[in-house]
Amino acid sequence: MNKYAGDWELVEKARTGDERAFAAIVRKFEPMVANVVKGMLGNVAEADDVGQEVFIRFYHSLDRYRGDAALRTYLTRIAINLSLNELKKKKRVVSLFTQKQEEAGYSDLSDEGRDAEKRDTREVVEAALLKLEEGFRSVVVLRLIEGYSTKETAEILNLPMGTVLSRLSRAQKQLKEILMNEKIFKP
Amino acid sequence: MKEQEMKRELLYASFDRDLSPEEKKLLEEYLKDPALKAEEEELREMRGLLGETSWHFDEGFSSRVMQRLSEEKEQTKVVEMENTGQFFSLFRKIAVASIAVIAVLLISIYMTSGSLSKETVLGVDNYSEDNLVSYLLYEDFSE
Repeated sequence: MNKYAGDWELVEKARTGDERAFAAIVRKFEPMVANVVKGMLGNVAEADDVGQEVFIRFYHSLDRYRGDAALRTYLTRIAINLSLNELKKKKRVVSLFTQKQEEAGYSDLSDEGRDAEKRDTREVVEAALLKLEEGFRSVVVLRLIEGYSTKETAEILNLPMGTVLSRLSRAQKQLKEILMNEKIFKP
Repeated sequence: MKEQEMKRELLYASFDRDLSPEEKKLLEEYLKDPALKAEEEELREMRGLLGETSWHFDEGFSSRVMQRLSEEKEQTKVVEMENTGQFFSLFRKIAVASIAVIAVLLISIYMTSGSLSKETVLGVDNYSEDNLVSYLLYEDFSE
């Protein structure tokens, strides 16, 4: 039996107006959407709205969903596109925010003599991820966090596989550099 | 796919799935390249760090989505009702205006001709069904 049969059944039920089926879809894919949206936008208030918008958009396109792509992939595509739109919208605000963080010494914690080992590594990794360019970040989120294959990542982002691989390689180098500055990685 | 991309893809695949014996052998060969070996090390470290990374929405996320959907549905209903209401309101206005125009027209015909017969309403003397079409087509009978 197709492993996505359950998803398809839920979609079919949701199409007929079964709200419980749609709520089940939301619950099932909420963690994945959170990873994509928050991986792209950071843990900001807008991320919740964008996450909701992903499912609202999907609800409105239920009739158009033919099942050619797995539901997870379909929702990921919506989540990535909405996150990129949000980033475009908020670009100025985000850059101001980052500037303020930097002014407050957030990115140069070593200057304050804080012990990197005591810091929450996860928090630093998340912050480092946000410092990557959007194109690199999306590849890292899909390939390394969400575990999509290179081919799937290329399809979701509408990029050639070669581009995905080279972005991934460059993103890793950038991330390593950022994390070395934060003393998470040793040179 | 270019050679470097193939090497990378095989390297990434080795972290995602079990490689076939042929693929393993090929990867071992590829890893003799120090640049790829360094990339393997970076990838291992990065996956270790990012593997623990996960986010979640605040509690009650699915309820918020369903609530938003139901609000949207309600709003759509209200807009539809408003549109229907607007249509009927517009229709009523046009109907009242049309009735008023017809009434004024009939009154003025009655006041000038003293009757509301077919002939006076149509403005045709000696009306008959046979030549009505000709009258309407402005055919000149005087010749």
